[in-house]
Amino acid sequence: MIAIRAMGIHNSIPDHHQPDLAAKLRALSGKVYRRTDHFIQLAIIGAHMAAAGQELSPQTATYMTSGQGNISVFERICDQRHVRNQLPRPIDFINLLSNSAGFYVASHLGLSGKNLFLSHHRFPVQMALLVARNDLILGREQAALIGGIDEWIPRQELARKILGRDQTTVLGEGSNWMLLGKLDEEAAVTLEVTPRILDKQQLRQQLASIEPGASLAFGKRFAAAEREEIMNLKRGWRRYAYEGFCGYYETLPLFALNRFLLQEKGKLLHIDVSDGRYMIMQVSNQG
Amino acid sequence: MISIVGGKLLCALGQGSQKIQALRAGKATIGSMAVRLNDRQVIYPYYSLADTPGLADTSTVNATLDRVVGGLLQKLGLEPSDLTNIGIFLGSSSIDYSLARPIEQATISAAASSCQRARVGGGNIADSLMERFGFQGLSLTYGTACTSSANALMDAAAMLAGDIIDHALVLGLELFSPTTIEGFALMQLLSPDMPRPFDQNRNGMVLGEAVSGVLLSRDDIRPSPWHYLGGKSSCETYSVTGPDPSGGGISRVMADALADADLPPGAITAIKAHGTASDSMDLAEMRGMTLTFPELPPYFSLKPYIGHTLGGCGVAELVLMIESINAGFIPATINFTTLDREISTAPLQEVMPVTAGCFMLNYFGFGGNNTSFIIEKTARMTS
Repeated sequence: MIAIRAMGIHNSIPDHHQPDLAAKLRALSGKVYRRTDHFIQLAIIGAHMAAAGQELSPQTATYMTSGQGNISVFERICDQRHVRNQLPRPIDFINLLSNSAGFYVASHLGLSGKNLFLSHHRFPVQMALLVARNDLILGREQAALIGGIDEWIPRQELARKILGRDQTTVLGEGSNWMLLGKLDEEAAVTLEVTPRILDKQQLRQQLASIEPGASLAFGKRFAAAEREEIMNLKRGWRRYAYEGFCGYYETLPLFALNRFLLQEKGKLLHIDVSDGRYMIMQVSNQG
Repeated sequence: MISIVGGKLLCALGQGSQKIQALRAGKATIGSMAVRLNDRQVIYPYYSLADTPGLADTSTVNATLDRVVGGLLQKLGLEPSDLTNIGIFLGSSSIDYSLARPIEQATISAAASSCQRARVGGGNIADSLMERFGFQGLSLTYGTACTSSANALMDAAAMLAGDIIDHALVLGLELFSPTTIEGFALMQLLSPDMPRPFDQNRNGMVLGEAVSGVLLSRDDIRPSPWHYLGGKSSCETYSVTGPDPSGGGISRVMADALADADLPPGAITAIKAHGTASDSMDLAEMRGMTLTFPELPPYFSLKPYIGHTLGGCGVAELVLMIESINAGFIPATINFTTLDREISTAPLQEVMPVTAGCFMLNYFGFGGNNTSFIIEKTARMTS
């Protein structure tokens, strides 16, 4: 178990165009970041919100994750190469090749610690949290800033296809961050991630120990029937429904956890699913 | 202790004993790759995998990874089911190959209809490898530019130390991407002829392909004479394209790696430098090494043999170095003729006989990524 020190949420459901985030970033940070793209601006905004008012050690490690990364830059490069017969802009190449978003977040917050960009086909948030949790528990890091960033792209049909979603799915974008630390006696907000992917039977075994009164949140990939089946396993569980406040994106579990922690008290169990595989996270807010 | 059980590398040097012979003889074969730049075609030197030149699509990537993983298992006499509670850690500087082709096709056709409805993107390649081999466990994909698979290896070691996993298969993946070579060409970072790390006349890097894998575990599960001792990854915000030329950031990450491994500088037998042959990166690395080591150990670059394999170089160069030391030597840094006036010591110019010791491996990249880790080969197997 680890401590959550602070949260930051940026979440939206764009319509027709990617929102212009440069103005928001300027208003929040008082700085202008040239050579940044939409994805990088999203990252800085969310990280800034989580770090606001916190005294961050420069050694704070950064773990960023995303379903599909700065996809609009790759689209632009493809368009330049294959349609316009132009060479990509060097800055697009740099931002695509490297984890530039992590660089700009570190630069904005004055960090020089470990800085990773991680991904996973099914559970990007849970896997990134697992790495951060392990580093904190081993004492390899004293503080960890973890962010999930996904951007909305105007080509919605393409976006839904590569996300494996049907054409009725409403897509969103977000940059949701947590500042984590090692568990201590003062920690009022805590997080635990079950460190393995579970099958259905293992999921049920884990759920058996969850007491009545806990809140349960479900990943957006859950079918309604399976969600109800789980809710019916024990009387007294309360469903935490965050889904109406966001479109679909793959780092949404961080939005669900952060929203709960900023608005509610108690325990939240977050269950996510992908092709009959499950991962569980649990947060507790006693503050 | 974290054991390094074995490794497998596909690179431009060829297979098995071919690689060792080439390293011992100081011979490398550089191919070429045509790049379209503003309506003209430019030929750049390029280290290709002999049998898979050209554009890498998902099936090529999967097949090449299967050769590495299957070959490694065979070499170690293991079945996939022997690798219980495994983590796959894949590092590559390329956008996940599963995503690249569908977006390219949808862009060319101006319609999404050419694209199937199936989740592609970050982590897809590692996940499908888990499926094909029937591995049970976790996977993580790292994208931190040229430090990708080095960072993957350090996290794998940490997950083993934390008892989250019992085996870690760390993979470095870099296959030909026209976007990548065009990008480096546009930035004028590519050499027109050959890489000359740390040479006064170095004129840029030469890219290459490599796919590699290394199996890690703990000594109580799979003992080995090779161990991971410690390391450090950091972010230097001097510039998005390279380290502080003073070498300060690089020196700090090397000093932190030594501290993590609980070793004094004098304990390092040799340093595998990042040594890209780019003007500013080599200078920063040389200055960083000088700041860290009162007496600079022998250092060398493997990039003249296999090219700069970008995000794949973390594991590729580790495996190449281990194979070389297992054969009793560290190779000379070829293509070097003239000492840079800002550099006090030349990289290894002769084959260095060595059978055991502590070795530092450095990796630096775009995005401020600096990574340094230390491994050890003991004369006898520990268990």
